[in-house]
Amino acid sequence: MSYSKSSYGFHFSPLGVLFTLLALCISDVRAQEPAPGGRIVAGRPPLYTFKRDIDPLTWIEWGTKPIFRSAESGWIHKLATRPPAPEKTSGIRFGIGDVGISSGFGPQVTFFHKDLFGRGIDVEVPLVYTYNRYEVYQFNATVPVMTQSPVGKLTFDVVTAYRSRASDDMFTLGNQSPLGAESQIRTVSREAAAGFSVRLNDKWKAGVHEKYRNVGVTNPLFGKSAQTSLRAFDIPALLTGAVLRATALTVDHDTQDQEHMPAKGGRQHVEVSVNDSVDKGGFAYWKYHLAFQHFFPLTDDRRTVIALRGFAETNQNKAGTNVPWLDMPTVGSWDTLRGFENFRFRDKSAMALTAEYRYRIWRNMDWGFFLDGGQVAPRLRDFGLDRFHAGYGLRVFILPKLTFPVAIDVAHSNEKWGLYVNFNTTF
Amino acid sequence: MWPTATRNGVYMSISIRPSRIAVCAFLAALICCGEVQPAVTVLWLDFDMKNIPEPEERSADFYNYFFKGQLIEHTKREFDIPRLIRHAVGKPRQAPNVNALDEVPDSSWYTNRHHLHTMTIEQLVRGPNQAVPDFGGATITKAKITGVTPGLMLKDKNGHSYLIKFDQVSYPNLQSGAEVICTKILFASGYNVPENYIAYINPADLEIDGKVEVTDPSGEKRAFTKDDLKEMLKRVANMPDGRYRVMASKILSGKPKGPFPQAGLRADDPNDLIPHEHRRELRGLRVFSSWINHWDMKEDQSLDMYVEEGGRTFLRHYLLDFGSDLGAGQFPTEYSRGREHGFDPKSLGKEIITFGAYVSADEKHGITISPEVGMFTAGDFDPEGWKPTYPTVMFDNMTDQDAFWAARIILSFTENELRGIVETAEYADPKDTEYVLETLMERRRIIAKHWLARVDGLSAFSVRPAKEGVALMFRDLMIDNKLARAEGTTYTYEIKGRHYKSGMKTIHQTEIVLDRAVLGAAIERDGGQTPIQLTIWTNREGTTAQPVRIYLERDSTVGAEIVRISRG
Repeated sequence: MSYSKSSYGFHFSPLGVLFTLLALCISDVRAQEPAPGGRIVAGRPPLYTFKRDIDPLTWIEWGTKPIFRSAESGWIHKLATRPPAPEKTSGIRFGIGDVGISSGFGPQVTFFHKDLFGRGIDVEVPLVYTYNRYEVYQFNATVPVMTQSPVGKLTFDVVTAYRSRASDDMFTLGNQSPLGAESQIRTVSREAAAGFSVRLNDKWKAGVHEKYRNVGVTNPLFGKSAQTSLRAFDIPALLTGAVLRATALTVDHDTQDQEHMPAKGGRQHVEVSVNDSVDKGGFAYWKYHLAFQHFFPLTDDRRTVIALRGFAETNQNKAGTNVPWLDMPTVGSWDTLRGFENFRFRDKSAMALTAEYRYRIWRNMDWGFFLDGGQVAPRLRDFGLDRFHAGYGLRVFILPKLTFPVAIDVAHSNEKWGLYVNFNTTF
Repeated sequence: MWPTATRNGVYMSISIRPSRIAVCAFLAALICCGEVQPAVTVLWLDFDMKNIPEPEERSADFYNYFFKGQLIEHTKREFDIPRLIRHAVGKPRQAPNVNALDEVPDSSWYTNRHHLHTMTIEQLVRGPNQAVPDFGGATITKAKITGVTPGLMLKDKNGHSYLIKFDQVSYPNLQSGAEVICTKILFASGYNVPENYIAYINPADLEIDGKVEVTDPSGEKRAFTKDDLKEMLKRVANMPDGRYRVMASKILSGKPKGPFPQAGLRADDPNDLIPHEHRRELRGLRVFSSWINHWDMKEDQSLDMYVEEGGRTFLRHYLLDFGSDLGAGQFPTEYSRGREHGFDPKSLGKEIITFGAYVSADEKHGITISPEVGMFTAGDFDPEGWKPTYPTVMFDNMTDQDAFWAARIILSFTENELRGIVETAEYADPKDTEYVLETLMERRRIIAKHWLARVDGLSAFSVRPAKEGVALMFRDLMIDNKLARAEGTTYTYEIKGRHYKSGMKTIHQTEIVLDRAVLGAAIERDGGQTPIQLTIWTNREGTTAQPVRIYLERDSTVGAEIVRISRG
């Protein structure tokens, strides 16, 4: 194939293309000439194998062959189809995990014991390190207190964690924060929480927990430092971080027909907490948080579903105090407002709503269209219909298993196009 | 040089040199007119059974039949420029392995059977089977106890090995019935298939080879025992007398070398000269497959055997596994089988565009006719729209001529012959036998109506001496099968030699008499060097089909002989 170089880059010479086509066509037409003697053709078609071999698709085929072969009968296959390990009381699990928005994914090692000291104490120690260098090292313990209390199963929970978020996007506060203000920040948290949870029945759960968080802020591992570029905006705790104590009451209600790809029912989560600075940070505020998702089947076979999701949060600071930026709700992510940068809008109050129409197009594939809207405001009464930022797009769910949906979202807004891939999504 | 368009306010011009126009024209003409001509001699054996070194075994896997077969080969086909040009001008590439009479010669792939050499009912009923297996005292040499359907390998007293397939407990005779019927139909149609028998086994008569191991659900290997056999047989259909009706498939002789690729050639088989996607018998298999609903056409369902025959070792190519055909399977076939590809982008597109309102075949549920028949119908059968679960390039390349060839073979089965074949399924309910027969007959009629009309419907050309000269006789399959009215059909013909052309004549009967004067004129003016071309156009109810051309040469006994037939 001939080509020449122009100021626009390489392009094929029309004459070269024509002659190449001519050669291929002649070989196509001359193929399989009748043969005298015992065979109906004299030989293999001229250039047949050559034509197949020079086809870039053949190269793709050759290139992907080892992966397919492995997935079918090699180590990938063995990994994917290994029989489920018998339920162990204790041991180590290996897998892939993430640390929330922007973190990417990486190896996860979880040490666990489901019956520590023979008292039914459930201990888990998940350790995750992602390719974006986000880290979480956590210790969770659930101690059964009463299995048959008057209100249900009562447990005492203890959580400690170390988190490092390598480079989260950061903008100024407010619903109109400029896109050009984008910079990054790293937070390093040390957390501890203890409290009681009670499972009232298979639908209702409640808990009360005391939490301690020491959040340090520093320069990001990559990107432009928000501490430098946003210094002038007087964002609470941007330069200092915060050490916080909170008492939180949570209630959860779950009526979904299944964990993954639900078609009916929903989930609601309500949290009320009172937060105070442990040190001299001057933070004291009430946090009210409500989140829900609900699914409405449109057909009896549940192949067509309307899905709704939303959250609302407000933080009301006590007189003379403030709310640190790191505990303010944000809008802009795959699970709040798609088509915008992560953490795009941040303020003391925020809300987001998603409406999605999804339907099955194949036994292993669902398709959907969604509309997201979200806004932030300093106070609840500042919310307004004209303040919503909107994103819309389409979703494809690939279902290797119904219990392992992979969602690919393509979103658009007035700011950007976004592509989101979610493994094992629950919405 | 012609100014043609503006871009960014600047005039652009496209310069086309006359030489390039000439190249384009030559290219188009070459593709459009450069048809692959059938062989000049009437070759009835394409001798692809020469000694070859032992080939490697090809793997049969998802990669080959889905990724390579469906995605890569199909995408290649979509970007095959010569093919696209041919398609645009209505000149698709014809199969090269066709002899001068538009038939497929015998080869390691195909053997002309019922269509050209009418088989007796006894031969049709026997199919490929050589001898009835006797499983009294047979030995179990392999066993599979996991999965939906268990399986056994038995060695009978004669030392022949058979793969034993059972019917599901809720669907006795379903899978085994379909398998034997389709085996015999495909065998009589000319394909290589294994010997598949309905057999009856008594577990008490079976012995277990000491080396037989099974893998239990936990993945552990252990020796296969009588208790395992007993457990296994609880899940399969049995008979009131305690015996088990099974489908026994005799292990093919030779060394298995994996499935044949559905596109391309086997590089390690020097006998393999014709790309498989262009072989007529493989292209035309689409019509047979649609008839018997052989939807599972992935590569795994074929097998190349390295055989020794007549002192030569070569590859013989087999089709396998017809237990999912008709309406069968371990359970009755899903409605989508034959109606939609397993992954069907067109159907997906319709679902997407209609926001899920389009109900694809994948979402529909068919009616199970009976536990023995499964879901096999003719009412909504669409020969052109029929789809195998895994699309294959060889089916996509099928031309009207290939389909016509296959339809002619299908029409060679009479109702009585098909009845004989269907009865070998030994259905418990005679109504099921009748139903399967009627459905096959109806689907056969629909196939004939569709594909014959696409070409000309004329077949079985022969020449006999006539008082006036010679008579060319033929059959009009459309009329023979009551798909067209004889009163509304005429045939227009024209005789042409190199330096002679007769006027056009129109007749009503399926016999054209060529008088001596015309024959003599055509031959003498040619000096007898080139065949006389007789072109026949079939006119039905105001429409005229593409012509069929018969080439005749002087013959001392009959007066003329047919040396070539060309359609389209």
